[in-house]
Amino acid sequence: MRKTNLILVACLHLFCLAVILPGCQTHKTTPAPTLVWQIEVTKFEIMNNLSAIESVTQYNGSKIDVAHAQSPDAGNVYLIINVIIHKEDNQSTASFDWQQLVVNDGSGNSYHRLANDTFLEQYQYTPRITGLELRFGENSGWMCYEIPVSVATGKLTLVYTAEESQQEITLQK
Amino acid sequence: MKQRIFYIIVPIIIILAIAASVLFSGVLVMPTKATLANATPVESYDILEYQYQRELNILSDYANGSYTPQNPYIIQDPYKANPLSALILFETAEPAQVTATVIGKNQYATFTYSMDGFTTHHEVAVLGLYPGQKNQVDLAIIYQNGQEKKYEQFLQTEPLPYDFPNLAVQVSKPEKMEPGVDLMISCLDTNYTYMLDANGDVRGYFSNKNFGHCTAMRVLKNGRLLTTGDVEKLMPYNMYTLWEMNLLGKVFVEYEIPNAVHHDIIELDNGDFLAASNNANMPLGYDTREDVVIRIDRQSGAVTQQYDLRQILDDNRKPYNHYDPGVLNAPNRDWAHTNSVAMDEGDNSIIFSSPIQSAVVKFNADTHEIDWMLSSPEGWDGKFSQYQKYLLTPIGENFEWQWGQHSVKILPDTDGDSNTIDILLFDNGQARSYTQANSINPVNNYSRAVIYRINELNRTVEQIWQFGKELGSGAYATFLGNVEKMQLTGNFNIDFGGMLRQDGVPLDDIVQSVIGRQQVQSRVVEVQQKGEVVFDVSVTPNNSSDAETYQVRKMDLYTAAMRYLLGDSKGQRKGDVQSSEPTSYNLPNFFIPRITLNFKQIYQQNGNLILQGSFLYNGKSYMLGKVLFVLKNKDYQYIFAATPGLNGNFAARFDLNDVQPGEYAIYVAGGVVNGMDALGKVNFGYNPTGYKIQVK
Repeated sequence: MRKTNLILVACLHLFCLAVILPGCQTHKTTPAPTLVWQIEVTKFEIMNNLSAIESVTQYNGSKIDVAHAQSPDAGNVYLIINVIIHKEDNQSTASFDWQQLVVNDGSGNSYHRLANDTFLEQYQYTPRITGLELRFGENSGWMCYEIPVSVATGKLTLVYTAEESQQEITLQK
Repeated sequence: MKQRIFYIIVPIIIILAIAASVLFSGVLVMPTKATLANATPVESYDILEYQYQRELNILSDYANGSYTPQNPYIIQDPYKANPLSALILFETAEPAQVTATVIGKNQYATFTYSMDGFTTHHEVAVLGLYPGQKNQVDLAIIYQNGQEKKYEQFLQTEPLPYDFPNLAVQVSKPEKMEPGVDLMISCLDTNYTYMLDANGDVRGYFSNKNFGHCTAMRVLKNGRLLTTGDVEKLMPYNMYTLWEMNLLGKVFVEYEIPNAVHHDIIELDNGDFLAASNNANMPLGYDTREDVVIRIDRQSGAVTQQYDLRQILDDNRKPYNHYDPGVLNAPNRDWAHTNSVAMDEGDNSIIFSSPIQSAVVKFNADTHEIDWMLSSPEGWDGKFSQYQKYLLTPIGENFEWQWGQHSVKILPDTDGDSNTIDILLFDNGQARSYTQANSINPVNNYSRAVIYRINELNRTVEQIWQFGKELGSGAYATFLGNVEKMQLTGNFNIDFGGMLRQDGVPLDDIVQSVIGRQQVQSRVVEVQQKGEVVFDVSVTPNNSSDAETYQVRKMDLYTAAMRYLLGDSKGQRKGDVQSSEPTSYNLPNFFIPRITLNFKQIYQQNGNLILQGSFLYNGKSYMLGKVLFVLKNKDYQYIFAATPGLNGNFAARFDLNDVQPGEYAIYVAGGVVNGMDALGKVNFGYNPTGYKIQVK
């Protein structure tokens, strides 16, 4: 293969990587040594809105597509995170307090999990993790935050501030 | 030239020979290490084990701390079954009795529950929390010396699921209503079973949509709820298991019923159960369904009596009805659709309801001889004229026959006449005729609750009360529904359970609803005997849900079923497990990848593989079709047939006890039929499911 062709192929690969990588979001965990509750982010997505098409068969046998859509408040996006929350220290009496789990942006603003994110399951984010206080064991699933679109491209961290479980997980895009 | 032909033909022959040997060796459908490595393992699950382990986990976590009434241990939704429930655990230094009160919007929605006796260890069940808000729960601690202390707790709950049906309360007069909550029982697995208070607020629901389908839930004498479990034998509601449970979701006993149970179960005086059921060989080894009444021994869980209704009625009588799916050569005819059973223990007789035959029949439990039949005389002529002698003669004014009825109950005697028996039932009114020609259009039809007084000596029937006709088609429910007369107030709770509507216009097509092609709504009305409506709630679909209400049952939120301690006992399993043995089938030696599966359940339990779901063929759903599941590794292959339902649904429980230990890939094979003839031409498919199973 000629040298120019090799350069062309390499450029093509680099271009493909540049196109694909922004769609593949990873995360970076700052590990803490002896935590009561260990949080692991397995995946996260930022969505301008959610939509789903449900194919519904009608009374006469014909099919129609029923569109479901869900949008955040104007100027916001959804931050949808899949987590595993595991109680590491089974001797501890500390429960997992959802109020202490927030998303911080680079400007020092904090965002709490939506009070009602049951809609996630309609858009195939299943299972959704319960919003009830956790007491023990491994708990996993999707949860949803709403953040301003202006901070969505900046640094985002998932922060748990409860005693003996301080954690900060960078959501790296 | 000959040489050129030789050089062309020989390689072709060799290639064909190699291809044939590869094809016939089966290597193309052999699971590889890679496919097994990438497959999802089928997990083990047993609700009794799971719940017991949850209890032990709660106790273990509780043991780490020192909990008092001021600072109790609270776990919400302890069994992951009812998100609007909780357990509060704590110790008191001295023996004390605890009373818990869940504060409601008013006195009729406030629930109080006192624990038995004086103890130092306390486990308080909390039921009736509101969704999506901070709930106040008061604990009153009364010591043996009479000293009383009160503590407040606040429990934040989650909102209702996105697909919870819409509830619109039209009338609520709590002061005139029967106390308790309305248990709203679902029929389809797209809906929830939930509890409403007198204001029409949701105060509990079961997150598992797979149990209790279309079958009565009854409060037993021990305070537990009796319901069908979540292992399906035949879509959409013939269930292999029964559960004795409480409203936290704890299952105390699971009964395995080979015949499967549907529509109705009642507790007899001696504690045994009487249930609407099937021949145990249904559906793959018997040609009709839902036409057997069984008696279940409470101690052993065994089926001790089977009353075959084909020996009592002629199963060839074909009234015009809307239960018929219109399938030619259907493998399991549904000629009776038995939906209600009652027992008159005074004369040892059984009463059953067949909505398809629009007949309520009383027969002797020993001789199986019919005593009487409550049914319009239409259609009981010609070759069915031998039944005319059992028909009752109507007397009195405003008499109307029932059609497609549900929920038959014997009422307590009110006239002091030992020759009469009062029967309460829900008259759906479906068609209101034996023939299509005389049938009533649903837009002009109505449903109602009705009391008939039957004089068993004179062989007469009199209509002595009804409610519902005055609501017209606005409450017409082609199918589902019930009525119960309540003890304290004498009010009637009426469920217009299966109201099929398109753009607000009543329809009659039940089959489209049952297979998920037509949404359904419902309406529950509590009415005084004099006709005053004291509660009226409409239930309509929301998002993907259905909004049928199979039955409504007024019940106390707190019963004796809450009085137990965590970890004291694991739920018991009784009865006989029925599961399918391997079958034989000529599978191709290559894949025909046409089948897509959507599992609602797939798990192992005690040597069985349990599957439930639906499938598409080439991305489309077909009314008629069936699937087989193939367990395959390099040494062994086992083929199991799933039980088909309409529209691609299937259910299965496979016996793995004779399967050689090892890891198996799971494949699916099967076909669909164009049209509505079950014997029509089959389009076949065969492909991996993406699952694997480890058999021990």
